[in-house]
Amino acid sequence: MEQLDSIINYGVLGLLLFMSLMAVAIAVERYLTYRQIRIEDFTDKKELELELTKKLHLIATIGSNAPYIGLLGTVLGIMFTFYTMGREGLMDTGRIMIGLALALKATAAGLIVAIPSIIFYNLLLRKVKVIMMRWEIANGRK
Amino acid sequence: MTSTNHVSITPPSQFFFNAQGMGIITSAIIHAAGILLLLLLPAAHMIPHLQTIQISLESRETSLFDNSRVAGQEAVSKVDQVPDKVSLKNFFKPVREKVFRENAVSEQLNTTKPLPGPVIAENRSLEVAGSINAENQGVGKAKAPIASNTESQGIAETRFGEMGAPAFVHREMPVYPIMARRLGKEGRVILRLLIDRSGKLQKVEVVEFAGFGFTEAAIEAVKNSTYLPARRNGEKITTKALIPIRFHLQ
Repeated sequence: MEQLDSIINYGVLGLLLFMSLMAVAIAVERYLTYRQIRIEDFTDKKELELELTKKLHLIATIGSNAPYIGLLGTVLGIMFTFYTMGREGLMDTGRIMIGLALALKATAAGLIVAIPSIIFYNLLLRKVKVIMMRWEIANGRK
Repeated sequence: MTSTNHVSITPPSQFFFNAQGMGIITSAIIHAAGILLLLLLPAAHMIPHLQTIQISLESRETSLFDNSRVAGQEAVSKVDQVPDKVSLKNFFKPVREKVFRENAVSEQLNTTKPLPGPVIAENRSLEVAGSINAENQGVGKAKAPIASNTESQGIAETRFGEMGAPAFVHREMPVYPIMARRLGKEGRVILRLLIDRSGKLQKVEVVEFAGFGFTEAAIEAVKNSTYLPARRNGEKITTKALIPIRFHLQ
């Protein structure tokens, strides 16, 4: 049963770390791509849109899901803490508090992952719009 | 199908660096730096360090068990204590709680520390008697036997651990009083138990009293234990046996 606690803890944190890595990597890559894309290369508006929005949905998913994953880790941790303490019959409030406090770190990690992700997503979305509009201006409103 | 410049993974050749590779590398660097910063940050002081308490039932003059066996008999529970300098590493470790049932010896031998030998040694002020073969207990230290004191009112006075003294059939470990544990108090209680010929506990006298609930916890434990009567010359006798019970935080 001990391992369950470790699995939950490290699993959730590891997952969040991986998601954060992915989100930042995609954001940087998209940003570099947008900087260097040439509108003249595209003849079809929809193709441009397709090209621009290629990996954005991943960032959005990570940004919106990370808090829930953190919450899941916290809830499982709290469940486990209460269950263990209930089984021991020991009602030391200090211990309960510490268990809860440490369980909340999963939520904190989820939020730390989510906040920059949402920021990046919105900024990139804006950039996509800007590029699309520039294309429209250059090619007339087809 | 029109083929302008469909890029699947690799972007057009006008890029000098592969944007995807750049993204991954940048992300990895940022995360590594962030994690390093978190781990080295001394701001984790506020997170208290979980430590263990050990309740030790051992006598100062005698010990019914070897040191290693004493470790197995202790009830260990976790409590928060004054935080010392801890890094954020502990923050990310899962909270481990190990509380052992009183008589479950097998599980915790690898995690609890055996009580230090010197502590017992220095506290031993009297000579101690030989070992007693109780049922479920290890052999105590072998010492020179002591004759029981001259009888007072026909009842022999002994100590637990002496030759011919009463022994435990089932030894109930006392519960460490919550108030004392919170306040960080340790204590010692000495009880004198009147055990008759059939091994039943007749009377408990308090020789040395300790506050914070130690005495009550010790009396409770002693009352819930069962005993073998003392023997002299092979026959069972009634004795009054001294037992010190030490409450110790570690």
